[in-house]
Amino acid sequence: MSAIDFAQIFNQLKDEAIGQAKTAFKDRTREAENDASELLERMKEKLSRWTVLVADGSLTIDDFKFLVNSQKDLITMHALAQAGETAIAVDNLKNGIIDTIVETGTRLIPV
Amino acid sequence: MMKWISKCLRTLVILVTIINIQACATIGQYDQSAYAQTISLKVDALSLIDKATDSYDGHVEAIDMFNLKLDKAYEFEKHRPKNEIGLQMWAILKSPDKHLLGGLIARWKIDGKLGRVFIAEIKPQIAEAFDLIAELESKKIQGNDAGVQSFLSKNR
Repeated sequence: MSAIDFAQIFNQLKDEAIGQAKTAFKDRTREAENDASELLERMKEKLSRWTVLVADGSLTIDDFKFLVNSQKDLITMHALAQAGETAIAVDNLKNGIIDTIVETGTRLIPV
Repeated sequence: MMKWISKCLRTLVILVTIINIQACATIGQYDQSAYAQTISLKVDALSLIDKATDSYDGHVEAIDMFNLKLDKAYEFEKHRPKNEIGLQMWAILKSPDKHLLGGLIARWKIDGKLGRVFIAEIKPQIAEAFDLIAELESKKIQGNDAGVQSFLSKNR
């Protein structure tokens, strides 16, 4: 029975895990930046529209304040959603590492 | 004999590693009933909001029934494991002190009725809040027991 080369196994796993992590978090960062830009753009349009509606009397000042504050609450919810998606990305990464461990361990631990 | 022992040892080492990693999930798993409940409440909420141009007193029963469903959903979310993020999102949505669904119902009660244009503008904001919750749920990972079982069946 050939000796188990744990250093080799560990180094392969480490390289694979680092590669997966870099890919996962580069994708997440790009997605989060895109989401934030789109969100701000949509909010700008809404604020502009509501300002016009207040000016023409279709909305009251209280309506306007409520709507503006609804955007603050939505920003918080978007931030929470982003945190949740990052947590999911971490778990996906862990699952990816599991697959790597299974594949590498099965291949390199002799029987 | 030695080969069999080595195979068992390999399987055990890999399995223990997998189980330890799986136990460290950062966020809870996807729950179909939670997702369906969110969508159902969204539809009910938007339907109720349409009535806010009428007198609050004329819709008290419908409002109370809806609030009961909302409270039940929140209670369900409270007891899901690793659901802190989802729970915070629900809390913002339903809080009468915020400016989404709970805040709208509270304002409807105080003001008696709300403006048609205001309702048309706030509805998409509340819909967006529900969508954020539903979309986060839909992105969660399904349970990974299949992965462990697949490994076991290949290494018998």
